[in-house]
Amino acid sequence: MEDKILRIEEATKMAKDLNDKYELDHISEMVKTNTITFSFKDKEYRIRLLNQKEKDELDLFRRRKFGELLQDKNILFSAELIRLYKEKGIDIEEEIDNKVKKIILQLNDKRMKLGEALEKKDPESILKTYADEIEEIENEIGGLTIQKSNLLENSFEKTLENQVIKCLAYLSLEIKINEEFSRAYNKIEDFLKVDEELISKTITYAMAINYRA
Amino acid sequence: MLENAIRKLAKTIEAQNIFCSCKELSSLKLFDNDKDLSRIQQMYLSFLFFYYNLNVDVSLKKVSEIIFSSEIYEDAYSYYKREKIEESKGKKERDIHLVFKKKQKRKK
Repeated sequence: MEDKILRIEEATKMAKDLNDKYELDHISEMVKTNTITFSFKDKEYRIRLLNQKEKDELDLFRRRKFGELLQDKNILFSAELIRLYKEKGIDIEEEIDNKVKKIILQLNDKRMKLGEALEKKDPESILKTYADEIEEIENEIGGLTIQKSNLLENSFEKTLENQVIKCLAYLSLEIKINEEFSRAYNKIEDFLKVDEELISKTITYAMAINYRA
Repeated sequence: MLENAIRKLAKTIEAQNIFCSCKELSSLKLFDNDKDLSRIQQMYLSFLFFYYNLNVDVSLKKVSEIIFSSEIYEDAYSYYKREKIEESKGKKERDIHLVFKKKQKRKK
């Protein structure tokens, strides 16, 4: 019985190792070739860097959308939204921004302590205590960042950014037909009508390849 | 998620060996493209450097191998090291400034 459990554990570990190896090989190929290939509903797709013509197209789209959104009186800039939220009792600057600044100071302090403990080769129990505290602080920062991002989701800046990212995804996506890759959709409107999952996958990969932080 | 996978790849012995070889042999290339590095390529390069520096410190016994058991350890140690370097740089600059001021006083 014990032997059987050990064999199952071993097989699970082997399967995990193989899976990890496959994932790393896939990532390695992605990084080397600067393209991301993936399958979706029996079709093969590819994401690649935009060429200059496409970059110009993206820039034109951004400027056109900027003008369009500026005309829309229902869309507010984030600074205006922050002011309105404050009037309604949600103080983003005080409750989120200042809090995050304070927590980052705590985080850096803990990192210094852990770094020093690592250098001094302190016992693992001490290292672990610092690491747990850091993880907790990082989670807190993550939560606050998401909270702010959700509150400003409909701001002018975020709306423009979301539209530009969709255009970037549309321009980067290619489909394999007869062993050749070519633009998957001829119009952004057609791309936006496809399966949500394909759009979301394309956005993630297109930003990984094209977006410069 | 992609960032985690890239970090994991840069940490592997294989990736570190190729990176070190590329530093020595100019004919060996990390990427197919020479220019227009994408975001994932820039990220990969920065993680390769990050782990290269950690490996150097481990081999010089400045820190033990336990560092590689947690990304939090790796990040904290790198942050600590960077801050210490900045601190000593700042101290050097202050020292130079003090020497310069003393010389100026003497001239007067």
